[in-house]
Amino acid sequence: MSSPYAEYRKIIGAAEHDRIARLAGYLKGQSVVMVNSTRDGGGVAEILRNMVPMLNELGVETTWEVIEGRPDFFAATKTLHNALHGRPEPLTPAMQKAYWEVTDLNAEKLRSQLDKPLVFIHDPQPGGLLQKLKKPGQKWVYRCHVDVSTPYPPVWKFLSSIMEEYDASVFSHPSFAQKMPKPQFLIAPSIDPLSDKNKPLPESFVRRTLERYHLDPARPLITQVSRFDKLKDPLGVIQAFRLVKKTHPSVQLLLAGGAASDDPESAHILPAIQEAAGQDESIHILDLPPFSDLEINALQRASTVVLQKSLKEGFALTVSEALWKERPVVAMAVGGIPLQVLSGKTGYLVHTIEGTAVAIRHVLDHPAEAAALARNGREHVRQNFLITRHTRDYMSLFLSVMNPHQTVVALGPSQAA
Amino acid sequence: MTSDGSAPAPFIFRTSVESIQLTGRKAANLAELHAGLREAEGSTIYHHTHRFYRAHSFLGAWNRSDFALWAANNLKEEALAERMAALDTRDYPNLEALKQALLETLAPLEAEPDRWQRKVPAGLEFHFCKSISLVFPAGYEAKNLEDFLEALERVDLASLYFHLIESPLHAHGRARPFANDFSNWLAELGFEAQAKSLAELNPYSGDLESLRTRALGLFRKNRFQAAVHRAVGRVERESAGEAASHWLQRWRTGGVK
Repeated sequence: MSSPYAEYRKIIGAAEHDRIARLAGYLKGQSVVMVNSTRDGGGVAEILRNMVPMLNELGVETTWEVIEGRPDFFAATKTLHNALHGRPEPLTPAMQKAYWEVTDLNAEKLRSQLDKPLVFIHDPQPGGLLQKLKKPGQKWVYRCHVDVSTPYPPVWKFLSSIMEEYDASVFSHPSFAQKMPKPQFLIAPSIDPLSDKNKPLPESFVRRTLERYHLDPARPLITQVSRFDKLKDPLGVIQAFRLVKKTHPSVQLLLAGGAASDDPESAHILPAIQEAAGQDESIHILDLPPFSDLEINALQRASTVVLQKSLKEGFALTVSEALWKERPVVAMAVGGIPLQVLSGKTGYLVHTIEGTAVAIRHVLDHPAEAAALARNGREHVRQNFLITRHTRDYMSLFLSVMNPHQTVVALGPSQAA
Repeated sequence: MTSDGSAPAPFIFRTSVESIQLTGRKAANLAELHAGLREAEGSTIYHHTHRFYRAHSFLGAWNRSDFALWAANNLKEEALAERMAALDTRDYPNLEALKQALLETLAPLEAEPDRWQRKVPAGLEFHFCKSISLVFPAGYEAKNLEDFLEALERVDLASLYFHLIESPLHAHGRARPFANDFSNWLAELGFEAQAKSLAELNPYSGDLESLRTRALGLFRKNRFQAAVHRAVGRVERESAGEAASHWLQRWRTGGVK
């Protein structure tokens, strides 16, 4: 359930709240359609669930469509995803055939819904729709949520040939930019401070959640919240935890995750994590169903340290979620994480399993310092990674795409001075 | 009054938001930074030397140039970084001149190939971006000094940024007495001294909230007079209202024949 725009006023301040509403006025009468591959699971669906109603409330008519796939299509797009992250996995001719067949089916199904002035495509799964449906006068924007700083070249060639036809593309981090003929924009994703995942919770609910999952509120809790995926390095988290446990035997580890309907690999990773955890009763693995947002919120709030031990990341919104809750964060310096964790200022950036263990011990031994950084972290998120800033950036992007080749776009009456 | 004797047009407070574009160009050493800078557009120089002024400053960085930060943090060229950070935008007539100054700061190091060619580890490169600015009214308009000061107290900080920092850069080359919009309008209104004092404020010093305080501080006397004027008006209105209500009461009770 999204929150009315008025409720964000007390969080972002009246001036910024009014400025965003005023900017939206220049998009009245425009309509936008967002397209991705899942309504549940993962950061993209979560952002769209909250942003689409906000854009509509601001007067920017926005719809959200989801493509349908089949197992061989999602297997192909998962390979595509891994290869964009740099894994040398070829996209076989059979995979490419499945990709284009499903694209054709979705193009037929969504033809009328995508007949809007602005079409906003999220990630590679629906990327091919442009070739089937783009009409003259329409603007199509490709939103890449993946870390494509070092893609596997043959697969990048496949995707870039699709992306180059878009009027603009959007990335989460400067290092993801590529040499492309059309404009590339930098927009960080965001969290919604009023969603179930991030809103304030009563202490009693947090306590009950810990009891429900057999976590001891009296012992330090180290948590990683991420879908079960090799790139989130859950096995590395267990190794780092074991190093910490040598000096801090009372610690407990929580790996809380789930699967997304567009991620066929998640089901295979979970047994490997369970095997690595073995009989260690201080390691808790929670396979949470979709829409467990209140539980995740409570578990993050109860954590002594929140980890993000990813090997590759698009952005890792779980980091902003933890910072917003003023939790000390230890995270790998990959993808968009260094934009959120300014090392030594809003949290601790690490590069190895050993470094992760050292930083966790430091937080456990210096709680006052960690708390000060966490307070900075909340302010950093308030200024940079909330959905209101994200919505403002998307509206700015729409207006920039509608007014190409200008570095200063004047909207409204001209300055008389 | 304007030169033809008419009252100046109302001042429309404007604000801006930016879209950041990625150029796809990056630098891994000083040679590549120099080459990238040489070919950079004004919007790239603007982005990397101004984005920290628009943003909040709770982290309190004294070094607010991306070029200098990258030289210090990633290349470990602290002396170069200090020289780049020390360049004062106000000393240069436009962004092209600022770019030339940045290039001149780098140039002496070309004679030291070890430093000039030394690359940062992968992932720590400098990424050239550029700013697209969208400018629109901020919701305040002033017809006189009183309106202007009231708006200056309330308008969002991005509007101050726009009129005192960004707009002077866009306006470069246009003939006008002062670089910033506020001073030009105030001068037309006849407040020459205040216009001049405002133009002398350094908008790059401190954060935007302190800039607002410093700007308002120049008008202490005018604000005091305006406050007295408002208070007298209120007293007069309230007294008139009180007298009318007293008369009505008397009329209802038959006290007025």
